[in-house]
Amino acid sequence: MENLSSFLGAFIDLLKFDVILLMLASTALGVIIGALPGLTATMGIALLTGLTYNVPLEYTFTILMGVYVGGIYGGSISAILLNIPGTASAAATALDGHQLALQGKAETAIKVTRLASILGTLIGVLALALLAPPLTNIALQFQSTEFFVLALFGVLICGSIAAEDLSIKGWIGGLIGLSLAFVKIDSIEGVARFTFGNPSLLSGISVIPAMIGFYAIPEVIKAFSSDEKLEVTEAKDLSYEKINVFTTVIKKFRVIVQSSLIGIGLGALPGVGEDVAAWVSYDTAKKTSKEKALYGKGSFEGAIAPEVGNNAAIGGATIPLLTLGVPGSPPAAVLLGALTLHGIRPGPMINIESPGFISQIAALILLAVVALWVVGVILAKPMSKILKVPKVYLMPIVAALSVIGAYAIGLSMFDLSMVFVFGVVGFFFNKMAYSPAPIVLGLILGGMIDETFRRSLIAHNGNFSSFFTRPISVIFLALIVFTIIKQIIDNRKRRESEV
Amino acid sequence: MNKLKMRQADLVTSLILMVYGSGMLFFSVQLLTRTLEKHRAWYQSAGLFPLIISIFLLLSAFSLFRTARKAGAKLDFINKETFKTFVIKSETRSTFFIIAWLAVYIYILLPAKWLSYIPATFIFLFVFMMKFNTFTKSAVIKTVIISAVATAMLTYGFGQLAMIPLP
Repeated sequence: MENLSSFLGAFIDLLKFDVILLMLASTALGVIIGALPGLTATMGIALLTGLTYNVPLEYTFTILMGVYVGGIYGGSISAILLNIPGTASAAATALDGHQLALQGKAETAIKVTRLASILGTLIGVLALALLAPPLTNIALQFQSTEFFVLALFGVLICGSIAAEDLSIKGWIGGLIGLSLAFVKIDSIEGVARFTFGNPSLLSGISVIPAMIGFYAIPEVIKAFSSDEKLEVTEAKDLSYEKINVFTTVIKKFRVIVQSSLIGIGLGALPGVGEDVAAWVSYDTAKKTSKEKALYGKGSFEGAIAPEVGNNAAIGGATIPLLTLGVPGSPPAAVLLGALTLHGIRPGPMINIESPGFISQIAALILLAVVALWVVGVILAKPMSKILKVPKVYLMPIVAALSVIGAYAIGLSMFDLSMVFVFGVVGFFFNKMAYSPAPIVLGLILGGMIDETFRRSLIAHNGNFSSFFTRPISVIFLALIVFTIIKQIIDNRKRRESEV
Repeated sequence: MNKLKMRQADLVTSLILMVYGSGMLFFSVQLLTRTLEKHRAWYQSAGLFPLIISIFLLLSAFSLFRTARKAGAKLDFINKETFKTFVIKSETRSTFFIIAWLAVYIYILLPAKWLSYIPATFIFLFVFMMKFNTFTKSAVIKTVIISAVATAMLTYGFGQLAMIPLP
């Protein structure tokens, strides 16, 4: 109850003209970013982190949370109108959303997914407001051992789930990310590690430039590697059938609750995030539906489930981010970088070091939900025109924005090299079906994993027993072993099926 | 990318990863040796965790190599003919143009003392847009206007609004 009142209090504090206006503008920007194919919520947050470097904390997170919520929803618009998901998390929405558009129900489909997104985000934010504060109290009992196994489990599970082709590729991505995190002065021994005499590497590889490289540059390159022309369906209903949007969505109450829980749960798993939440929500809704046959042919339920799932994952992904310092999704990983830049240290101490911050973030997401409803109504019709912006003009601007956005964070020309190198590597990895999520999560959590592993050993004079005697550690170790064994079996099965 | 091509790419990647993992293993052992030479405990060493990760990376690389080989991938696809086909593909040319032009922007135009951020960005945008645009009078005018407006917005947004010193 105390958490809820603190959350509502934080929301009332946000009701200021400048904050509301900024939230409306940033959510609108998020919707546009999310809707334009090739631009994602992660990319939008990463690029704006540089722009908001000197902006006061409250405004910074108003902008970033607005772009996050707007970006995740925005992907569904292009999924419906173009059959191309603006973001990967909207890929499942395209299956039924575009079919509805082809049946002349584009406007209703957009309205239905908007309401589904709003409900999903709302349930996710309630989970964040209610679960995060007690979780920080539990996390206060964590020692190096728990943080080590938790972070390691995060990288492993992210690698396993995010892999697009062979499951081992997800692991390899995580291992590469971890290896990149080792490049810096070691905090325990105080020696330079893998820096090869380059002074720019002594402080490590900056996460935001690396993420801009991994997420933005490959999209710029990919945009010109095909001559595909976009066919945009108009965002209006051509059918004379009158459909009540509210009733259509509310009638799917079971799917909404089910998808929300999936979204929150998968969102809370380190690095997994909105994309997986959407697919699992869609798949579960299809398996448990009474109208299975309609799926893929224009089912409203099929469009509602992934939208509720991916938006609920926003709140879910923010829970481990704030309470443990472990991001639940790629956009949350960028938010972690932004928090650090602004002097906020996410983790168990957050309630002591930055009291009320969790409620403030939850309140900002709630405000973003309201803003999403407003800008969703305003942007619904002009979206068909916005989606027609030629990539020949848009993508070079994204490239220039990526460069200046990365430079703005550290004012370092070396960070630009990082954007370039990770951009090119990210493009080739993308071609070979390596997801950037485990690489980025490895890069973010690598320092923590290494440090907590050795601190735990130092505390026990090199004895590994603490890893097997502390209950949370044992649970996560068991999950790690299970993940590894499952991976090996999956790999073997796939190999056999390919031979 | 079709299955066989993907496995061929995996085969090459696995070899690169083996080299990368071996290098990491070598430098990790060096770090561990240095710690022991200073009479410190092995578990304090900066090389300990990288050593473990490099071993896992090598194991994963071997697993990827095996999967690719079992799926029928061989290195014989690396020949003059495939290289020729690869180079003349429009996708390859577009990719290499973008990578090269981005490198020119980051390593030549932006650091150049004789060129400030505004002209460097304008040139970058204009050339990039024109490369993939049609060469008509109206397209050129439109590109000039869009490049100029985008440069002005980036300069104003980052330089004035966010008060960030431009490169």
